[in-house]
This record gives sequence, C-alpha cells and structure tokens, in this order.
Amino acid sequence: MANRKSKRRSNLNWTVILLVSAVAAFCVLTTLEDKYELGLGLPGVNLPSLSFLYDYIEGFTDPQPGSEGYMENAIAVSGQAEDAALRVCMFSMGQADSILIRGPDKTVLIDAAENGQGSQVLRNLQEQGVERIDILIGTHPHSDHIGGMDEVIRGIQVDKVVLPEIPEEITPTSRTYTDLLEAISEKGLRITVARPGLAFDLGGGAAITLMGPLEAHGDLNNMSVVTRLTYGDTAMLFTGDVSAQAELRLAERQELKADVMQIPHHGSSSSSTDAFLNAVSPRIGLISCGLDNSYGHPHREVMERLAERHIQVYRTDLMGMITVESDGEKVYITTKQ
Amino acid sequence: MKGSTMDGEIWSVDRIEAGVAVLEDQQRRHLSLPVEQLPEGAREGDCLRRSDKGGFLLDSEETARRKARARDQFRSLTQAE
Repeated sequence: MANRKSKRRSNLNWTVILLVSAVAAFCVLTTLEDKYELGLGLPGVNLPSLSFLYDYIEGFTDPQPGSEGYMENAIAVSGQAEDAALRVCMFSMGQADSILIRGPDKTVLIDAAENGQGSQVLRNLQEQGVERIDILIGTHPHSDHIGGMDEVIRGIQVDKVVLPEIPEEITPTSRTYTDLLEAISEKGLRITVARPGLAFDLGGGAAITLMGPLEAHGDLNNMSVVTRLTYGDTAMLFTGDVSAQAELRLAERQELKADVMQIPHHGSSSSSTDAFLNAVSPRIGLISCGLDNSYGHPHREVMERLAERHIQVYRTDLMGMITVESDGEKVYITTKQ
Repeated sequence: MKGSTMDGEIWSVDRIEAGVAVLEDQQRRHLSLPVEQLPEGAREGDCLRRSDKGGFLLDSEETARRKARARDQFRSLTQAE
C-alpha cells in the first residue's frame, strides 16, 4: 500500500514537473518571440505574468557566440528582414570603430577605423554595395576613429564631412589629424561642424540628428559626436567614445531613447553611466572592441550594468560584423565572422 | 639641435586611456606606453621629444606650432550648415 502511494505520488510529481516545464518553455519562447522577433513561428500569446522567466534564462540576456540557438535565431532574423529599408553595419575593425548606415536614399559612415585600416573600410563598403558616402562623420580625432578617414575620402566619393570643433587646448597635433584635414582640402570638401540638433534626411522617413557634443570638454572622448538615427518607430544611438561627463549632460538635456545603442567607448567603464543608460534605455547594445585588447574592453562593470537592465549585447570581438536592420517597426540583428 | 622637424623624432600624444598613452610619430607609427613614463603634466595633444637618456621631454614649442597649424587648417575648411 505504502509503495503504491509512494509510486502514485512520484507519478504525480513527474506530471507536475513536466506540465510546469512545458508551460515555462512555451511562455519563454512566446516572450522571446514577442520581444525580439526571432522568427520561431509561434502564436503571439502574451503572458506578461510569466515574463519573469525571461529574466532567468542565462545565455539569452547575455548571448554567447557559437551558441547554436543564438546563431540559428540570428539567421532567422536575417531572413525576416528582406523589406527593411534601413541597414546599419558595425564593422569588425579590432579596437577601432567604423559604422555604416544605409538609409533609403542616403548613406552615412561614422568613423573609419585606425591608421592603416582605410583600405579595409573601403573593401567593407564595396562588399555592402556602397559607391558613395553622403555624410562622413568623424566622432572625435583619436586615431582609432579617424585613422582610415583620409584613405576613405581619397578612395570613394564623399559629399559631406562632419567633425566636432575641438577646443584649442586639446587640439590634436597628430599626423593622422592633419592628414585628414589635408585629404578634405585636396578633395575640395568642406567641414560641417557638428552642432546639437543638426539633422540630415536619409530618405523614406529615416533621419539622423546630432545630439552632441553639447559643449566644450577638456578631453577628446567627451567631444565625440553623438548621433541618433530614427526610422519609423525605431531608433538607434551612436556614441563614439563619449564618457561620463558628457553622458550626464546629454542625459539631462537631450531625448536619447533608442532601441539599439552603441555602448560608448568600446565598453569602457569611463562610460555607460546609470544616468545615460536610463536615458537611452536600449534593448540591444553593440560593442566595438578588439579581441583580448590591452584595455580590457568591455569592462566587467559595464557588462554588469547592461545585464542588470537585460540589454542584449553584441560584440565585434566575439561575433564579427554586426548588422542591424529596421523596417520601421522592428529591428533585426545578424552577425558575421 | 631642435630636431622638431625631423621625422620620427617627435611623438604626439594621440590619446591616454586606462593608464596607457598612445603616441604617434610623423610616419603615423604608434607607440603605447604606461602613462607613468610620460613627462610630468603631459596630456593629449602634447608633442614629446626623445631625450638622450631614452625617455621623453615635453616640446611645448612644437606643440604650439602644430596646434596653431591644425586650428588654422580646420577653420579654413569649415562651413556654416
């Protein structure tokens, strides 16, 4: 008798476990499907009361490269983005930045990587079918952002160059900077000084607006041009190497909300303050950094702050080039090594 | 010898981040070194000259000259939007 009771109890336990597991799995998948358009073909069931389960799925809030589920999902996302009129590529340039924005009508390049990487940036542009850059933005004159820019200006048609005006006391003295200015002059181009509020129409309802720099700072990182891209209901924020001082001013004075944000300064702990992350409230963070870089980017503190906010992180050092597409309603992400 | 116009002898401080200074010479070659090895008071944009003892010295004259040149060049290329 005792054995039968025990067996019945055991069967009941297993039934409950299986039932709870099935419900939990279904809820997680529907929550993820709803949140990130994973292309799993699940019905749009909304179960907010169980959405807390999402918080506990390790490997989704902090996806790891090489994870089969992650890559499969990424490919499915790519398949769904055929009609996306806006594409952003964060190129994998080691410990340097270069980001392409292809709007419906116009193309923007933000930064052109490090000295000696200009030809690689040009090859990347060619692979993306880019024949002309309408707007070239140099976020700030450190060589890991503008190093390849003179080569890009000489290698492809560029219509407009946007740079921050640097205070006299921190004006760069590097050859990289003067070579850039010489290339601009050589091509008969002019510099548009980055001012907050300056906007450029990219066609089809897409536009970029410069958010910063808002004022003069005592270091070049904080002079970074911060650019907000909007298309339909979606927004993305590109931050250069902006650090705490400028972040706080931006958070106080600008509308920064974005679905996707470039995590500032390669994920350095000098940046990504709580105030800034709260002001932007991104769902997805992109980090451009080199594998095993000597700065230790992205810093652990920053990764913790992102994880606390359930910001899904994509990194060029581990995942290669990151492509974000938008159809005006949703964003789709793929990575390519 | 001033040496400020000799290629490779003057290094510009491109950036200082996380205790590491990245210096650049006139061939755009880079040299990374701990910030403690910079002369006292050195900051981004300063020009440094190799000293006979192997370290670096601030070259304020070259710094001022290059800054003025870059500023003039920048101003001559700017346009109102």
